[in-house]
Amino acid sequence: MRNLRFIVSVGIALLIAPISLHASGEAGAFDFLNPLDVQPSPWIPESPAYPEEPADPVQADLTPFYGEFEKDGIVTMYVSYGIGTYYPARGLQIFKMLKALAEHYSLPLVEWELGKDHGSISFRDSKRNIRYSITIGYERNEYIQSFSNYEVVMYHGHSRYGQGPAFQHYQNYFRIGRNFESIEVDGRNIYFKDEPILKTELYAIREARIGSRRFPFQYRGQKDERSELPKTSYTKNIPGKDVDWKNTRFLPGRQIFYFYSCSNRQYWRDSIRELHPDIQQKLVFGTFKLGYGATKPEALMIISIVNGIKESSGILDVLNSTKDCDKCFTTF
Amino acid sequence: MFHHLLSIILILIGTAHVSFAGSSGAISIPHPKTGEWCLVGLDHVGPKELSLNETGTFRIRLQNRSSCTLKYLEFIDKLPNNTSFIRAQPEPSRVKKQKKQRGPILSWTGLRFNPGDVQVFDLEIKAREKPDRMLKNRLCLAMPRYAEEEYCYYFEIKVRP
Repeated sequence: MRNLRFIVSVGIALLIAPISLHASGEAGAFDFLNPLDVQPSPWIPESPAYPEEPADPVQADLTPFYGEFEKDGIVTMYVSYGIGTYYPARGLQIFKMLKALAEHYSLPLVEWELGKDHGSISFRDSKRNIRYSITIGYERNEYIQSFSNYEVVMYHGHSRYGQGPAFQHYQNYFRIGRNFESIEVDGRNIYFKDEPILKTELYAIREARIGSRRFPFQYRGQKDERSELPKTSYTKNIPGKDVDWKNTRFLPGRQIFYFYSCSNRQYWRDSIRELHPDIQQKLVFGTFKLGYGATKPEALMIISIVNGIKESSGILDVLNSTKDCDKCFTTF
Repeated sequence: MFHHLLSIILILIGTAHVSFAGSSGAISIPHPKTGEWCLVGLDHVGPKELSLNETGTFRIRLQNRSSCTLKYLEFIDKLPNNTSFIRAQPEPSRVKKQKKQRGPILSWTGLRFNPGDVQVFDLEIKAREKPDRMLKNRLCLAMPRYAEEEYCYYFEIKVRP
């Protein structure tokens, strides 16, 4: 009988412990999402080019953002996964996590829908009659277009040493950084077909022909090991820096951008703030340290917006409590 | 009463150790004519852990999630180091044995993948790696008729202590 009492009391303690942790909002508060956050292979961060810095987040009141987003009764969000982070089950993972979080926060969310191939999620806040529409993507041009179509634009993947988010392959950059004057890509790459070719004084332009396709290139393989191009690549050098960012069209008014990749504040802040100096118009949740591969941060970012967390620091606390990275999130 | 409760707890602990589960991944390969990046989804279903000399059965499911028609596609399964190939269905077009501890390379050639098509490969492998090591199973796609590059994704299988 004593043994039975012991087993029952241990069982009750095990049940109570996680519940009290959830309520605290501190590190480990969202561990109940861990069984849903299984990654197919371990995430290997690229080594940082910058030394560590203090978090030093900017503070923003998010109330005007929510007011603007909710004006038409629908809040639109786009979540894009880059090379190394995309796998088809991400959408399902986010869906399950959002449902668990809605229950955790007792949010009145109804009419849950998971789209074909897990590429979209929608639900409605029945109390305020606001619909949330989330699209999950993995393709470069769709990501670029999302800045002109969605109120919240999210990216999770590599920073590519600052060259920019990259989709489906390491060379499919969205160029947003400033520390690469030029970048190496394969001459066959459709995204950079019409780009000017640089470094021609060092490497003359040659022409390759494979089947019926003709394309220019400068050499085989790569000169910069960070390019992740195979030896068989027909490589050319094209403009780097933030050319894609500068050509991107944005939704007028307020938007929230989320980048979960390594040290992106150091890499991309100057480009972002040159184009959008006002943090009350375009606010960025980014990182100042190495990022990793879990899905939890995206689900928590979405639910924090749905939950109407008023201060940007409140969302940072939630993101940094996931323990996926070493409290890497900041705002800028 | 106590024994009954204890047996339930033991069953729960026991099932927690059996880790059969699936993982999903994706490979993008450029279309040889248009250059469009075509996404192929991968499901890797089978044991996440194997013991030394244990045989594991895996199901690999490829799905063309793009709007590309992929012709003359080659699917390559680079088995982990220190594993042996037992059998596969459908049978691979080629089984390339490797030197020393390197795992064999299986390939299925001449595949045609219309948008939305699914192809399933079942295979059995035996683990010969030391306990506590990770087996890295690399799955690749190539279109050797048009380009030399292989595009890969990998899954891990743990060797039990």
